[in-house]
Amino acid sequence: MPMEKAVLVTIITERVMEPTLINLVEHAGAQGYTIEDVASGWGKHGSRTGQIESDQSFKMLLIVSKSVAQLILQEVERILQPDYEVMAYQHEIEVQSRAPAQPEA
Amino acid sequence: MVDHTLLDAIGHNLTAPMPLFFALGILATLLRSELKVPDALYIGLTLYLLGAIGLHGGAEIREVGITAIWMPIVACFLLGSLIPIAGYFILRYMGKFSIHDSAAIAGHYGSVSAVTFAVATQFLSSLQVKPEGYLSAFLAILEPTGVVVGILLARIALQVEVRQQGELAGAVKSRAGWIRPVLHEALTGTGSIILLGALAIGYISGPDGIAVTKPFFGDLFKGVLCLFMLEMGLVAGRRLAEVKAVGAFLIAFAICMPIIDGTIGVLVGGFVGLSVGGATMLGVMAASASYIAAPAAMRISIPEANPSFYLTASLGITFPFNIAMGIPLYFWLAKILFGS
Repeated sequence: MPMEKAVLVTIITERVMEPTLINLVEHAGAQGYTIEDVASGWGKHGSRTGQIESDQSFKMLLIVSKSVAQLILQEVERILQPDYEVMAYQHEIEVQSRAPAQPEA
Repeated sequence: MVDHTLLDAIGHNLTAPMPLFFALGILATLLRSELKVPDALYIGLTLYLLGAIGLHGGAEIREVGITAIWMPIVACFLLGSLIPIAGYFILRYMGKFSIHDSAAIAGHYGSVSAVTFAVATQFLSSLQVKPEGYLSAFLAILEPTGVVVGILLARIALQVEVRQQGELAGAVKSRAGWIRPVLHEALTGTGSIILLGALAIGYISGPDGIAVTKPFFGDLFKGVLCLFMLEMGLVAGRRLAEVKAVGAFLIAFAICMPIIDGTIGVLVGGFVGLSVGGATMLGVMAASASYIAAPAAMRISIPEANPSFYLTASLGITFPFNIAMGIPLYFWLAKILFGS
């Protein structure tokens, strides 16, 4: 089975930053993303109970090339890190290649 | 109208089911109960309450005509702008809070709590007092006004400080510039869309629209509000633990500010010709502080402000105060000032 090398970027941040983060990754060249709700959690900024919007978090998953991953993480550091609760990390992964589209007969 | 002293009014309020469900929520949190209102139900209850409030308001505006209510609308707009400005100066110069914290907290007090509004309408209806029904439209005016004024205050104060101290503009360049996403959020967020939409639907469909939706949006309202208050008690209960940490000044502010704002609201309501019930409601709106729309908007626009200050003040102190004491107090004031 043909596999391709790629990077899985995971970003967990505040719910109110969702539009900002979406804008950021689209500009950085991401082709798509998945968003998951994060129920609640605890960290050095205190607990996030998830009860009201300003108190909720979400998780964004992206599968991108190494260069796009680097750009995204740089932008997250520049735009979100100073003022918001954010956790970002990456894994090197292998993604199943898409079968090349069959030319129409 | 039944004759009531202030103590009677408070007693009458505290034995109504809504404040009691709220107290149950707080108690459950203190007992570390596992009681929880599921997220999806909470959102559903919000949609229901704002939908019902909006429908009624819209139908009532149609009944009286927009031209008849321009005075209260202007008064309401002024209240929404002046309350956060006053709050800002109190917090900044008496409370010695930072520019960011002062502006963010003040914005919450300029904005409004729809749930406090709903509880107040039930309190009045239990006393057979009927406020002007179109007042719910003012929720839609007050909610964004307070938030936007709060953000503008932060922006202006930061620019003044830069000029005075000659600091590097870049060093204080805050996200207070982010007013466009906030306006977008304020007008298209879940709460605003459903409230503005229901107002429009109520206006278009009129009394007939109210009649056909009454079994759902009318008869069930009190029960739904009880469940919502239970959830609010659970949320506010968690904030109570943080009350000690915010300091004596903010605690005093979160109790005195609604009393002052509420009194001004009642006075303004009376002067623009609202009934006793209407003046009470304007007092309640002026006194209440937002805890859903404003925290989200402030987090985006003034991230330097500490959320635990504004959430604890508005949700942990002012909201319970208004539910227990504030509503009967503003009613009592309206009655002795403007009751015949």
